[in-house]
Amino acid sequence: MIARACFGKAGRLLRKDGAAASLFLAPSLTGFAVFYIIPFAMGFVYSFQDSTIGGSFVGLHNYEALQASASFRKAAVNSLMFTGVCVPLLIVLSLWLAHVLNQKLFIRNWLQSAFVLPLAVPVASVVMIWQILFDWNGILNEWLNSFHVERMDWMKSDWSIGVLAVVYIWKNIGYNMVLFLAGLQSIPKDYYETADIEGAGKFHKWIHITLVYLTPTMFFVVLMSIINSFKVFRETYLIAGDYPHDRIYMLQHFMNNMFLSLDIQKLTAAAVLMVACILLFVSVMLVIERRFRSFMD
Amino acid sequence: MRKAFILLFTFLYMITAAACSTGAGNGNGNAAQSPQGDQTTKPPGQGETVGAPSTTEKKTVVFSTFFPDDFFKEAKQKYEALHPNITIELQSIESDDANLEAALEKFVKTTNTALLSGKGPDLIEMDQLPSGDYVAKQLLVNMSELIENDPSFKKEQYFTNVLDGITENGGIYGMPMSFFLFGLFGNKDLLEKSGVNVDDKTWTWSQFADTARELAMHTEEANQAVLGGSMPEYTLTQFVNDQYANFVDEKNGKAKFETAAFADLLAQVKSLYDDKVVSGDIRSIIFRLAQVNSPADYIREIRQSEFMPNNRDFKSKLYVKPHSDGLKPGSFFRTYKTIGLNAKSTVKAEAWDFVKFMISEEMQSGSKSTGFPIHKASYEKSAQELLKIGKVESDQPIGPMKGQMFEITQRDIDDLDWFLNHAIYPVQFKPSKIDEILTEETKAYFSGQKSAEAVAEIIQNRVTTVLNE
Repeated sequence: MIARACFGKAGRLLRKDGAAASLFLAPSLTGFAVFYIIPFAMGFVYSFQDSTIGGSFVGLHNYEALQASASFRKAAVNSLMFTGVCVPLLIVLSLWLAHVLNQKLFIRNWLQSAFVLPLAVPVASVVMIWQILFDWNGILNEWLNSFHVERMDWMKSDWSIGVLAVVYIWKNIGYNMVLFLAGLQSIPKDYYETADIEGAGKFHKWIHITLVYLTPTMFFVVLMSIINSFKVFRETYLIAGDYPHDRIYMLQHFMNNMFLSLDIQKLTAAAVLMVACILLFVSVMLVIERRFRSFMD
Repeated sequence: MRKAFILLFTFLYMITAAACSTGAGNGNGNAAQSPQGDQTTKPPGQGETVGAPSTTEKKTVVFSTFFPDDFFKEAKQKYEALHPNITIELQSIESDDANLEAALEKFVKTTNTALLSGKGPDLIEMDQLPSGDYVAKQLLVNMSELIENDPSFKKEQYFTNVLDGITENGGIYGMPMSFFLFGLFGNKDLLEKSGVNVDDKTWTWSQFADTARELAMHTEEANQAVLGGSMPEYTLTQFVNDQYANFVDEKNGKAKFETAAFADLLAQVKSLYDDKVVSGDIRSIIFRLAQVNSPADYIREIRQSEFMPNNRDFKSKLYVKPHSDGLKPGSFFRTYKTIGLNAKSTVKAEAWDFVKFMISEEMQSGSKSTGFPIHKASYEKSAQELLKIGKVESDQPIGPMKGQMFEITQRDIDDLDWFLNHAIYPVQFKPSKIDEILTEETKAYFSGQKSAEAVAEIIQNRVTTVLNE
């Protein structure tokens, strides 16, 4: 009886809170719906139609056309490869950097600021610098030339993906490093002290304390890095234009070109596929995280 | 709580990352729910008719152009005076030189989006727009069908060769107000004296190159180029387009640039420039590529050389620009102020009537607008008027040609007439993506920075991506 009363009270409170919460959320939710959710839902509908106006349902026809496009397949593979290689690399590098900066260093604060700086620099000016650096007649080739090394066309050869990886890591390493630093500093010192007393080695401490307590941060950083790896398109497009060397021809190039040639069917189909993949990956990540959390508790 | 936060963040970022391409295309809210497909249900072969324009009902035709234009303003005033119930709403973009590019990009994007969502202006001036994509997506009315079903439209009054020339997908999807001619102005005296056989009616670019080599031996000055004013990368692109099928297989999405044929072509063009047969310079040359804008312009171009100082005067003649192998003789043209009719327009009859009015004799004759009028009689009238005056004044504000009067004869007009009546090969307003890649990448080869193989490889790579999208 008492329990029921309690539940009833809690339920009422929750309902009251829920109403207040949705009221507060309404403005941002409206904006989010208008600019993202509704357009995407419409894109999803378009991907099954043959025309944007008065189109009829064509089933998977658009997806078949998409699969038939060799350029799309290449773009998908490139995007996947880029994410698959660069994200682990970025995580390792930024974690290492966080470790280094977690020690007592003379210029620690300066270094921290320096690494976060790329986030604050406007893309256009950054791209300008990269262009000057990696152009066929750019600075890097000039240096190579002075060392009597044959010059490379960095952006128009297999090297281009490497250039892109460097740009991506340079841009995101600071952000990840700050997150890792926060994670490292929130690990209680007593754990390490206990481990020291029990005679654990450096490696064991790192595996069994640092890595374990860093895992929640790690999940977040991995997610953000994956999403940011898709955003590298902006820099690529500004450096190499709409039809770059096929090594750096990404999904967004394909979608952008489809939009410009008014092929909304293929564009929406590609977007739906891409979102589906990301969604799948994120869900798997979240499931793993939930498991891990219950294991920690 | 924290997980919810991560989840929310993830979705937000994920969709933002995808939105740069998806969001823009789907701007219109209610297009999907309101099917108005009068075009899609039309049985094929029947052809479209629009009927007569209304004479009583109040109607508004929206006409969108990028640049504000006096010709269209005049047409609007005259048309509205004749048809009081119809309003022509002219829309154009205000921009200055500094913002032109940004304004143009925005104009293209908004027009694309409006057309895709079944809205947009009734009439569109398409010179700056990707009209080929509009045709492919069936966003424009096929004017050939309108012409076919409209007894009041007399096709023979117009330059039918031009109208046939711009036919794509079996129809005319844009009505040009006027057009420009392209050709080669050549040194007639030198050509006749040299005795080299010049067959400009059928030559391809590589035949032209052979002729040019022969002519180079007959030039008086050392190092006199035969063709000038054309950079090697553009010449190469012309050569490729000459034998397009040898390099590009659009149907199977195959590019064939890593071949001996392409390497030969590169070497051929390079040797033309190395031997100074062709040059980017425009001084001391025998041929130069030119665009002809009007009869008066033609006379100026052709007579000017007769008044060159220091005994360097010579007679000029307009020659046909080389074209692809095996095609019938004809000259090149580019349409100007080409107007398309929106397939989703609700005032098609009125819009079509206005288009017809703009190409009628009333609007076309005496038009100050640049280009040769598409209406034949209007061109003939202006040519005859010019002949009656017998003289054209030079338009050079300074230099030796200033104030020079050029004579004009019936012979000149006859020569020009051949070009106008044989203008069958359209030149696109914008170069194609493949042309752009070719000119961009071969530059490094011609400047000696890259080898032919390296250039061919990157062209092959990029063109393959274009072809397989």
